Amino acid sequence: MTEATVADKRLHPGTMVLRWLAEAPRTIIGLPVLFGVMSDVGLGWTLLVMLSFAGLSLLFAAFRWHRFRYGIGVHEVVIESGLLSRNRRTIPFSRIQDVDIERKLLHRVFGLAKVKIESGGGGKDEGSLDSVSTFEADRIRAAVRAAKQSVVSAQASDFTDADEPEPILFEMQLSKLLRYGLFSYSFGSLAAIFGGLGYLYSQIDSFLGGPDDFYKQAKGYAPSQFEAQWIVYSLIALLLLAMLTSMGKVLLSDFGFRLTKDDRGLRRVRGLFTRTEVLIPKKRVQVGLITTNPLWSWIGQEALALQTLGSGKGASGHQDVAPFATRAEVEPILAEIPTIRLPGREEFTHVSPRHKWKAVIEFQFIIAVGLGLSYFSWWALLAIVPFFFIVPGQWIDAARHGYVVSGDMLFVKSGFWRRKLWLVPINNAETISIRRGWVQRRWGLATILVDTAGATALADPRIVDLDAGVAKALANDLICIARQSRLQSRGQKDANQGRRISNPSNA
Amino acid sequence: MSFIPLERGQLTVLRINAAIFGSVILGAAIIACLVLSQKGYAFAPLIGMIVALLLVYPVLVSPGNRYAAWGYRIDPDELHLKHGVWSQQETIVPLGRVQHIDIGQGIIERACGVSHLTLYTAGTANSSVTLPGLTRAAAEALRDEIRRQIRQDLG
Repeated sequence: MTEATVADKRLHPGTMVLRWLAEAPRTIIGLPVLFGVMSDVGLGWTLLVMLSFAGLSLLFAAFRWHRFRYGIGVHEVVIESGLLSRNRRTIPFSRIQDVDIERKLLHRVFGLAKVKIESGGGGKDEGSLDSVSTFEADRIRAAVRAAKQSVVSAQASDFTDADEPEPILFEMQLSKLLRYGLFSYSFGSLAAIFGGLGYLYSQIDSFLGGPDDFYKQAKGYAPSQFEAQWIVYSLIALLLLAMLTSMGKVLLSDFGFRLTKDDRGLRRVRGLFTRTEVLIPKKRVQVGLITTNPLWSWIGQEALALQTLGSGKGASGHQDVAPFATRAEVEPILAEIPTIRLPGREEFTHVSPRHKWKAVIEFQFIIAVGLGLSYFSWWALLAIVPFFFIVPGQWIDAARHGYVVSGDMLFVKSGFWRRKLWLVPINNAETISIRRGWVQRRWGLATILVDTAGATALADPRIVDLDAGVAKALANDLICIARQSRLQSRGQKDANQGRRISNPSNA
Repeated sequence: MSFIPLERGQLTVLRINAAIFGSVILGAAIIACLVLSQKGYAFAPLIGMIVALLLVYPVLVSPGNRYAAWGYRIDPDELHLKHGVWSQQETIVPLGRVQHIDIGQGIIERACGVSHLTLYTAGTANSSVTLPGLTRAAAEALRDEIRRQIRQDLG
């Protein structure tokens, strides 16, 4: 295995000047001018400093250019870089999604191009060659694409013109949409309105000469009864207002919601004024997420989102495919995604009972801080108020956290108020990690994180506060299942060369 | 299922890094002390001493602990690695999921004869996993093994 690719190519020499020019506003002009202003020396000195800065940064650019090399081998692209520390990056062809060529104004002036090599994952700079000649850029793209074709079986172009209407998987009629608006009554919007009213009220105060005067006047007109009535009316008005805003929000974003399928994936169209269309390729779907809350659950509704691995133009992150649907409506959608299925009658295993205590105790810190601050202001005592609501709420929330491994799927459920059910094909795990924080180690607990592609930073299917021993065994199980299904799909690929694998998941 | 410790050179790297960090902080504290004592504050030396005391753990003790907490193991299909003193993390990377690979060497690392291997996956929270303290040869061998796996996976 010593057919190492030699990184023997340099970027276009024009890169040095290009980069030097691009950085000029900062290094050559910005700093010396700052120096000139700060130190109050003459124009001559400032110019001199400017010149030396210019020289230095050109030298720097030249050095960087000298150290940057790349090479395109039989199996991979190799990029070497680094001024003081050296880095050698290997990007296998099979992992490259696409090669983009970008030409900004400066590039065009110099007849150069920036080549961006995209390999899965978020919009990070995975491999960028900035800059090469346009000829070389085309050559690189052609070389990588040709190599990819021989590695991965040919893929059809991304967008197909639909001549006949695609079969509808899920859609929301106006009545359903209105119901959705009615029940997606969020406390967030309520809080926003409260905040807005508070602001308005304070504005009115300043016009009328302080709240005390205002009150006294009002009380003078209608003693005692005024306050209670006013509060009730304004509360009702607030509730109506919040309802209207959530209704409006839903109508704006989800009007005419329609999910259709073609042979490669799902297509979602929605929106009142701006119609957006998103294509979710089946192959890129990583994880399913079903959310609901006690109210929705009571009327038998839930939301389905699919987490997809993004590519340059494709959708990434969590895509709502059914924001308000019954289980019977969710099932046919999931049936389209071969890798993901719903849990059957499996019994969920709860995490350690200590999880509930930990959730509650960690919250005490907020209260403690509130108490501490109350020394400075009595208002901080309000921090105690949530104690009576949030602590029992958190207890109930934590009590529902559990998981089950079934075949090649991991199901994780969490939360009572905001209920989440994660549908994770174990083979889609990018890494599996066991984390133990300081408190967790004292309590013999551990968290398992199954990291998947396209997840958002705030939401992932982690299993929090398992017993440490259980966590270790579970991580082992998961990795074994992942290995097995990978070996299986590898075997199938060998067996039916070229044919599309229709259902690699069912063991 | 034991973990392989890192090269001894990595301990030196950690110590040097900690020493640099410590001397920067200490230097700043000493300057602050001098300025304060010139202005006639009697408690100035005390600040210097407190800073020096606070630096004992991160500079003298922590590098050793951190080095000892590191470990890795290469199974046929996965790389296991663990690290962390206060909060510990054990990460398992299926080699077939690796997107691309970096082998890097900083100047201090070069002086100590070690380099680091970074595996990038398409994941989110652990999208890059770095294993420091390998000899150049070991890092390259590991990289070649992973390349072979990737080729098998999709080839």
